[in-house]
Amino acid sequence: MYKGIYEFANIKVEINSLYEYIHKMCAKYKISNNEDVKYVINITEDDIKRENEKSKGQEYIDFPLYYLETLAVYRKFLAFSIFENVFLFHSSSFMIDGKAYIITAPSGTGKSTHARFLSEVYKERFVCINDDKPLIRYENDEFMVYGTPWNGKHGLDNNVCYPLKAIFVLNRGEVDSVDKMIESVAFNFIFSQVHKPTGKDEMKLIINLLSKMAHSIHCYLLKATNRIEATEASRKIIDNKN
Amino acid sequence: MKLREEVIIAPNNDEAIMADASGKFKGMVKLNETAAFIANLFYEDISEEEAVARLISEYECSIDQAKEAVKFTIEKIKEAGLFE
Repeated sequence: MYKGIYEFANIKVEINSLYEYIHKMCAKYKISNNEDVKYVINITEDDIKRENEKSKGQEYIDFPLYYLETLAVYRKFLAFSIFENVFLFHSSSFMIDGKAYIITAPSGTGKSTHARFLSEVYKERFVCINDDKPLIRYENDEFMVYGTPWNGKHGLDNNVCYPLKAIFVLNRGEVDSVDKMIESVAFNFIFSQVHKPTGKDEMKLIINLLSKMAHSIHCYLLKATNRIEATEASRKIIDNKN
Repeated sequence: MKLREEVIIAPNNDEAIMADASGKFKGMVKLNETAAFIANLFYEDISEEEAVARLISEYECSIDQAKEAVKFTIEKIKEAGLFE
């Protein structure tokens, strides 16, 4: 067993794993203070077998066991994090001028590419939060976006958090445009992109949080071509200081 | 007809969301107030006719309107695979 204590989205957790890799992956999130550790994640061979079953049918079927263990850890974390108002939003997330933004879309649409274009435009004003699986925490009537080490194929994340200002739902387009979505449509997209934990209480909690999110956070349909000029559309929202 | 054990109906502003908490069905069904009332009836094992009768007793509507509303809601629930 390998043991480490970490903090993700303000939740302190002890991880006891079968492989060392998860601890290297989470190094940026390691804490030395083991007080107030409320949750313990113990990984078993069965947890890894279950992840292997779930991964079948995806693009890559021969995931190494140490990688499957990282998925098992995140799944176990998300099973209790919802009770702390913390959930996973599949997206590329970043900070510009102190505010967090999320670009969400099905895999392969170009979330990371559009985020990279924005990083080239805003330069040092841009900080990547997490390029694939950030955590969202609802606290003090605000949605905060937190970095996590589950960071996607480009390996981009930082142990930071910022208040969420806007969500972009990305569609590949022939022209670049940005339009505000009505709340009920925004809810549909948000619902489809968050991790849904199992359990009735958990599902009710997440619907309640997503309902608040769709109500309080502006959500935009971003149609974008695969070129840096496409950022003109998203910049209309980002540069609006209101 | 009866909803599966793990189905939940939760409020979402002016509507309700019906979803499966077992992880088998990843989507959700949006329900207006009337549809949410009808869907909630199926936490009990009742027939379509019984649902129509209960709807008429709760809302001022004709039999035809009630039949149509119940049929529509049942179809939505069936499509999502949320019945036992």
